[in-house]
Amino acid sequence: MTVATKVAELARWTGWYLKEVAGEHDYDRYVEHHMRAHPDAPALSRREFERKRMDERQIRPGQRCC
Amino acid sequence: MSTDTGSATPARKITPRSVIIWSLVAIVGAVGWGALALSRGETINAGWLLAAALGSYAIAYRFYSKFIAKRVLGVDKRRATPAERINDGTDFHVTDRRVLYGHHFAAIAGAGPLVGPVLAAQFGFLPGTIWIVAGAIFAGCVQDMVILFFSMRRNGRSLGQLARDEIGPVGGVAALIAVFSIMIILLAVLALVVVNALAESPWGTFSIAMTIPIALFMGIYMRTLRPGKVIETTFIGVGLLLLAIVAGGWVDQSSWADAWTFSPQTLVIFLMIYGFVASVLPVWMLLAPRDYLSTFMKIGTIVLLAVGVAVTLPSMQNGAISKFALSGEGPVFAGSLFPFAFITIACGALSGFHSLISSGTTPKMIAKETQVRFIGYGGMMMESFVAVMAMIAASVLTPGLYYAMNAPAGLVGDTVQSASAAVTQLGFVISPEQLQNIANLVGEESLVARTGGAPTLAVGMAQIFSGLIGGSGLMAFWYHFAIMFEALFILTTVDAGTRVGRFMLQDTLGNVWKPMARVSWKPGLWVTSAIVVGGWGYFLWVGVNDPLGGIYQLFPLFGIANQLLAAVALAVATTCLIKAGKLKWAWVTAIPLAWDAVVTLTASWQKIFSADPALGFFAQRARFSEALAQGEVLPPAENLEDMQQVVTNATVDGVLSILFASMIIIVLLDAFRTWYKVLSAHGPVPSTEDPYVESKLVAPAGLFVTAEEKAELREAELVGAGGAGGAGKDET
Repeated sequence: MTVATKVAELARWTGWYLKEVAGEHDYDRYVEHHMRAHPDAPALSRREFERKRMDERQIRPGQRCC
Repeated sequence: MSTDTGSATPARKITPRSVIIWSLVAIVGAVGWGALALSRGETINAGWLLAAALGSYAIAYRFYSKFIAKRVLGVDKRRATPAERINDGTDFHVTDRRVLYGHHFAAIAGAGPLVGPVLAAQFGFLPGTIWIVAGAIFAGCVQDMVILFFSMRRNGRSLGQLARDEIGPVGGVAALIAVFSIMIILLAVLALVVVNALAESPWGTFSIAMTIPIALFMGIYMRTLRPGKVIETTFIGVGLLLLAIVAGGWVDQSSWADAWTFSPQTLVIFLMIYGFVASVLPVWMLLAPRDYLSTFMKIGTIVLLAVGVAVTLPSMQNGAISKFALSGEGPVFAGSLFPFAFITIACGALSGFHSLISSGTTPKMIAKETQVRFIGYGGMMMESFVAVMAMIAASVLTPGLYYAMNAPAGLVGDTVQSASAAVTQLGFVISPEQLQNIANLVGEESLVARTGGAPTLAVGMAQIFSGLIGGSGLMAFWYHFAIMFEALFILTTVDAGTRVGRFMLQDTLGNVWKPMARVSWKPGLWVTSAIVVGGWGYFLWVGVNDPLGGIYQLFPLFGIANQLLAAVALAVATTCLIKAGKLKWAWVTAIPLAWDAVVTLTASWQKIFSADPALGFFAQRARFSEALAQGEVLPPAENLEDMQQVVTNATVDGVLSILFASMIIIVLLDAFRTWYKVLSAHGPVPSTEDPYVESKLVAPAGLFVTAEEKAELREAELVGAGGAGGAGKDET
């Protein structure tokens, strides 16, 4: 493997990691889960999903330590 | 117990290669410690400290954490975790171990591991460093990992519930009171750090104030324009943040400077208003974008600091052990090395607060039981490393500058001349010109009596960063960058902490009057938010006005509260081990518990009963109230009003010390009662664990995938059970 491909791979992995930590991929997982569990009901749109998720956070704020 | 089946995997052969590698690691660590211990009277390179810490961490992780995972806890890779069993798509979901490590670390690391070591540097760098490394290895990492494991085995139950279920109702109530009171003191002390960093600093105040519109913009952008695009939004936010730091420099030089210069008292009012408004606004507006921003800034800055220290390898001006270690007359906080070094450095060595995270969201997201080692033990190890770097950053400063910045204003006065004279009195040297030069270099009016740790750390970080990029011309930028970084996540903690405190209060009040428990009922929300803000606001106000210095008086209380929570967590863990019939392994948590109890109770004893007015709150109260009755004014008080203030503060702080000490004793006694009951009963105690369900998931345990795990993953792919699904990709 050349250095260039290694660097490209590292960049790709970092991008995947950051998005994963930030929860950007949660929507894709939700759609997948929804299709399997309720194939006949339409899934939420991205906008609706993100709003719902934020509103849920309202009730459970993330604990942040010292 | 069925749990022991996990260790049934064949033991790997010890190869000569691994013996050589681990011997080398041990030698690196030992040489580092040796160099630190033997250096006397001259400066020493920070590289030795890094070698000592990293070598110790590697050995501890490889051997001790593995021993705890396999022997003591009996982690079982064939047992399904709550994330796999329940998988409800909201709280419980299987998460890639590296992603969960990121979440967990972001939740446990905050300003604590940065501030504590800076203050404890008054004993010299060595005592604090030994405690940070050894405390983490034998106490802090163990606590985080063990609580994570026990909570995971009980569907992710919280520390309060665990204390009630395992120890008893009395222990449970004590745990709740401990959590609430540590919250209030924590928020007050952290807010005090911010106030001390921003007071009389137009540059810092402007930059921090700008984070509010930046966060609002990010919130609206994510809500309306680009839903879910967190990384994109955060990059825009970080760009704006850097611009705000640069713009702070322009404001500092402009006619606006006066409009952005505030006294500590004014800043307290602003902070309380901010805390209240931020905690009642919807989370998407302020809290969530701020959280993303501060998390990414935090990780970025820590990485930058690690690179800076490793590349520039600064030499440390602070001595190994200072004379204050034994005399107990240090100007930063009162008391000698034992017990106060172990109270001042809580986060970074042993932090009770982490047990709330380890029994919060993390156990609900963990994919494999075997991962508690990497996430629990490894996460805390990283935080301990952050504390080591904070110690290095503080030790890069000359002791003269360190004491001029960290001694309270009552001692060093408010001019460079008075500070220089006071530092000479303490036995260190810094000229008024030097003090003024450094202040000019970092773009501040004055650095005298900038207590709280943040400004000291910022000067140290600016020295390290400017050695990396930009030279002395960028010192001012790096100083304010460091201040911004700390203030940003302290403000996020203030917002999130106020909310968490409010929920606890709503929950408790809801037992008395139902509507209070309804989280969407606005008046209830406002009232409980106001009570929590009023609670920390009171201590914050008292802190900035305290003639003896707010950090000097309040920081030990914060440390005691945090270690009290650690005592609760370790008592719960020891109880769980004893109940599981593992008395012979109970020392793993019982020894840290005993140490923590001795340290915390000794510190409380001295704070309550010491006859030295600098140390004991009640001795201080007696001295000042007697003088007050005679109409005398004792320095550093300047008038009778100050005298009255000292008397009131000493009373409140003393009563709090009594409350904390009684809580520890109650929890310990209740735990002893339970242990006695369990041990004297013949036959096993009913387990509180959730029943065994076989796992269908295959996921690696640690950061790196072993050859054995690769084979398992391949097999799972072939069988096509969707085993690795959700556990992320593992291309190597």
